[in-house]
Amino acid sequence: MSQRYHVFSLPLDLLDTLTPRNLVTNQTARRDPSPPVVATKEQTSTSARSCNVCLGTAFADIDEQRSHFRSDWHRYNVKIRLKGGDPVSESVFAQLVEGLEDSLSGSASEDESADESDAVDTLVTRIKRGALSDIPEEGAPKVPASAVIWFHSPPATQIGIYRMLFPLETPTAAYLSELKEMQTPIEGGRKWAMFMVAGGHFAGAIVRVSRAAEEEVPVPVNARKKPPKSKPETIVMKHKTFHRYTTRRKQGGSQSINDNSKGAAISAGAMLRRYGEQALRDDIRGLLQDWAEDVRECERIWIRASVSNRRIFLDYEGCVINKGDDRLRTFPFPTRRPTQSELSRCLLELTQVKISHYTEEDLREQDEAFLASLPKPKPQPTPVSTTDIAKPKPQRLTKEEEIYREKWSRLLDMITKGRLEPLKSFWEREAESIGGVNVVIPEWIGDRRVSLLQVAAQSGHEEIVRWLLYDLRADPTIPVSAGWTKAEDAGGESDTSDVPSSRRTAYDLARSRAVRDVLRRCAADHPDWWDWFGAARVPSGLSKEKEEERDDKRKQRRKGLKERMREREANEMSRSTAADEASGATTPEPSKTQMESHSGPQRLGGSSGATDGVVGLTAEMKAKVERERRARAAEARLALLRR
Amino acid sequence: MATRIQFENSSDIGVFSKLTNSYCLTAIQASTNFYSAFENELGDVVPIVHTTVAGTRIVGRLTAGNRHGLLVPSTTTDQELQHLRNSLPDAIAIQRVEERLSALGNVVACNDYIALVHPDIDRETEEIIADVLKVEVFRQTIADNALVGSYCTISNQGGLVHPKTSIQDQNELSSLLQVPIVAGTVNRGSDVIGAGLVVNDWCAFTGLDTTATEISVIEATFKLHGQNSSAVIGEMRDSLIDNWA
Repeated sequence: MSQRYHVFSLPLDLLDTLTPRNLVTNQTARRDPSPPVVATKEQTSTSARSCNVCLGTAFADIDEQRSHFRSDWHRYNVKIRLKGGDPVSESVFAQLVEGLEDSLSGSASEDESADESDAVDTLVTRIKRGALSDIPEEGAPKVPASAVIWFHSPPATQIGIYRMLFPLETPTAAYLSELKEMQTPIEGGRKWAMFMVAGGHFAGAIVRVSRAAEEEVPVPVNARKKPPKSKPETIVMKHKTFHRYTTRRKQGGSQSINDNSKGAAISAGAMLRRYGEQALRDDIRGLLQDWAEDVRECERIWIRASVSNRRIFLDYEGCVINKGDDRLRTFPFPTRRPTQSELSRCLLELTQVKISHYTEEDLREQDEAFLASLPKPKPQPTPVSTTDIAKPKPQRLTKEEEIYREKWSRLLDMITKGRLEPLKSFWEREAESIGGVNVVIPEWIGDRRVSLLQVAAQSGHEEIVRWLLYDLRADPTIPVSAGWTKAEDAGGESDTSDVPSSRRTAYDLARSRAVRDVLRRCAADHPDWWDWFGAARVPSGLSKEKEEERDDKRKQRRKGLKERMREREANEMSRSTAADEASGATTPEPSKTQMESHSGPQRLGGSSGATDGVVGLTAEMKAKVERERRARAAEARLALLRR
Repeated sequence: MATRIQFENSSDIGVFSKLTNSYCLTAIQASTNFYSAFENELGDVVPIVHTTVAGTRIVGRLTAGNRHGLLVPSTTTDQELQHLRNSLPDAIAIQRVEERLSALGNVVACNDYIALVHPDIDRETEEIIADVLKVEVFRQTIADNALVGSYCTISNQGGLVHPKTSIQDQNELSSLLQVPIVAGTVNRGSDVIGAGLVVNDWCAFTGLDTTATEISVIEATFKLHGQNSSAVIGEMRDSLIDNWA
């Protein structure tokens, strides 16, 4: 993040081009990317130098493995797996961490090591929270309100500002004008008061968040290269922290709450804590009284306090802040223990504008993805980098369109089911409206096949193919659309599956030989109709003579086979009688082959890792096999390490 | 040699004792049977310390240690710490650890070189473990259990892990620790290895319920026979207990 903008001093050229993003869009940008589900859950690697948690990553040597086991990525995966989540790959983890750093940009001042260790924990807790918040609420507004208002500036800059900075009840349309209003300096600068109290700790500050009007000096033109070191925008004018002993050790909670629920305890500790609470309250109220002048001038009053602690600030006799004050705000993000540094972190988080750089296409994609995810029970906000675009919802169809679609589905149905007679009559009626036999099948069918001939060829009805070819002169040279790959065709037992998938035609799609023969026959009958042997990929024509020849050949072969069979039987007969004469107990021939087929892994368990080897066995046998395998694994390990 | 003992009718001796290569902690008992059993085996070799930790007798589960040091939870009293300091050799570092997961014996499994720890343990604790015990620390799980100290026992010679640890995980651990790992049980089928078994490089103690088969697996794994362990494993491969048996 090279540039940082302060909320009250945005550059003018940026400000002029800003447009508010609509309510829907500002959601997606703020959403934390949830970890993409990793499909492979089974552990793929079996080597020892690998990590089974991190998707079977393999390592070259033990040092690499050990350093991996200390990495954040591994820690994250271990934790997420304990929580029942799916481990992520290294690149995805890097993305997650990056996303985290972006959203915590305000906390740059914190020391590195603490940040590091936090990252994994934050990610884990965040994902847990994300899983919880995925549960949709009944009757909740469709688009949940976001804490951040986003503005877009073409070509690719978005800035986000906390909603809480704006006056309450600002209509959606008025945010931009309010933002522009914010840029005008006011006399003495804008002041904020910030208070936090929790667990006996208190931190408070009065800060000036924008420069006073009189300090606002126009930057001279010649100074553009090296801007003078100007005063910082935010200045902490007053600050104070208190700590009193109020929380009950080991039990948690404050003494007053315990007293209210269980009756006043009389232990020495309870007395101390009661006194501590009282003292803390008095301290804070005294401080408020001292700062009353400044608090009155403040534009916003930020208070972080629990319900009972809130009473310290409001609602007492002579209180400085009124209960219904419209300057009162709570921090729109989680805060840590009330300390001076936490206050300054929060101040930075509030006043620093969030910046992202997405192109307008990216934004549109995000919007679409978000919209698509909304009505589903489990919205999966897409990670920033993924490019999947939600399919647009089907538009309402016109009456004619619906009739047209109906016709198409009937037509395809008849072809796939092989109903020639109804198809013929249907074609007589509807040929014009469909648009000829070589018409391209419309995309909304979702079929990869392009022409009717291809559909017929693949469904394997030779009479329909014949009718299409001879009577309607369907074009066999139309190629299948590129997306149709071999893999998708794997179900079909077409024996031409060895053709390159680059260009395939109806002939390649044909599943049975009968259909292929129809095509070849037509090629032989009418070689002038199409480019049969080139574009249509028909290997050769099939004329009457050729067919007869082939039949002959087959007969011959069959005859030969029969003869050989007879011969073998005769042989066997003679041999068995000879053997019987020699001795009564000879092993019959087939048993030998059986023995040989079993000579592979004689031992139980077979080769290591043969999980599929135990499929058909009983539970007991499985146990034995598994036990054997484990024993051998242990043995191997011992042997390896004994050296 | 592996010895079968009992602590006041309980076989979970790992709860009441901690055994390392340079010292042994035992819980205080009305009779000294338990202590004597240790004394018989360890004799003059290493000091055996009668102690409580945080006023409890579950010393084995609350502490973590090896030849170099001993870690005790933040709940340990000053008197106990003083007693331990006085009883143990000066070479052994003792440190109190401010850790949320205070049963250190359950969340840390270590030998003299490597420690496996619970994935949620603090960074600071991790550093203390590395410094005091002079080990490399790895955040790990055993058979998807976060309590590594409860579900495995490791020495410099070998390691026994939860019976449901997959072969891949065993391989991984074995490569990480550079010692052979065997999945098994103690105390007649108990999978809480850490509670039923304490071991160092030359002797082991298990609960009284432990079967002969389990004992032989333990002796083979931790090389307590003084003979070639692969021969032992070879001769009793059938008795290797695993999750199917």
